[in-house]
Amino acid sequence: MISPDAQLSIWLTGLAGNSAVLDRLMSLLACDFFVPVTMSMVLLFLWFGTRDPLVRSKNQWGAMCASTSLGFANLAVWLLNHVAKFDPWPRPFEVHESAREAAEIVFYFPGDPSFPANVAASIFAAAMGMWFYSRKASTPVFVLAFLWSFARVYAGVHYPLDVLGGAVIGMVIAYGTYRFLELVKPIPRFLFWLARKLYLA
Amino acid sequence: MVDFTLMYLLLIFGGALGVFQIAAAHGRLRGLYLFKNTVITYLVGFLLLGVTYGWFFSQTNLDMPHAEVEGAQQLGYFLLGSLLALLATFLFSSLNPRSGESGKASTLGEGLEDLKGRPVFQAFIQRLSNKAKKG
Repeated sequence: MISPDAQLSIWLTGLAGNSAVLDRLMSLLACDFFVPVTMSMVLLFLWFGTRDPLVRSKNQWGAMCASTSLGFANLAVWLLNHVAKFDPWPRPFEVHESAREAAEIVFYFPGDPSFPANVAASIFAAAMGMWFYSRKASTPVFVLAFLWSFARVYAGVHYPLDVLGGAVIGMVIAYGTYRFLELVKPIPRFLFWLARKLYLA
Repeated sequence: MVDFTLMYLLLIFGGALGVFQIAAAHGRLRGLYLFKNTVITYLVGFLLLGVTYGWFFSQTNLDMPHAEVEGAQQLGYFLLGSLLALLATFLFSSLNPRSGESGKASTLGEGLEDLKGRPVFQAFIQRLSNKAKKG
């Protein structure tokens, strides 16, 4: 009996190899650089590119929360996989033929655990971190988060459940980071004051 | 073949240079403009970003693991590349005599808001001289 999660993975990875254009697009979206670099460029834009100083300040708080959450989410996944040795199931490409072919076409064969999806944890943490300060500004980051996560499932390196688990972990960590930043508000305030003196904020 | 780390650093530098121009044009931070005109600033920003992305992502074999630039290193190179791009923007916009001519007086001591009226080095000097006068 195959679980619905595995069925969805098999169906999605079965799409790979049918269209060179789609495979190239998914390869671009799934790769280790395109989405993280684009997300960082979006955060840079939000930091500088607003006319209204109040909105800019909100965006800067959001960008700070987003990047801190991203760091904590990465750390949490690393601790889960490497310290707690949590590795509940193999990667889809290790089990299903269609996923193996998809990974070969679109991506490569990563060696770290499948659950939780590290990319989903980190980018959903960043998107949610931004969301706490500006719903509007978080939209492009959420779009990138969905695209990156989808591409990794298409590439046969994660099950949808890996992505869902990663996203939940990331968003919970973003909430914790947001509460933490609110608790130690004088520290980021001081950093912003210093950055303003140097024309960095 | 250029070293992959250098390619990644160039991607960040070129991309961030473009983003700073787009952000400056969108936020009307004329002190960061490399050109006087807002439309040209937008165009130059998108061109820089597009050319850098096009160059990097057409050269790189995306299906290969790039172990030489891992997560923490990516962050380090991103910070380095974007800081260099910001310094280049500060330098070239300050050297550009037309940069920051908004026709309106702007405040001083408000960080990026200061750059709506003048380039960064001019704003620094102005702030220091204001302090000296007060002192």
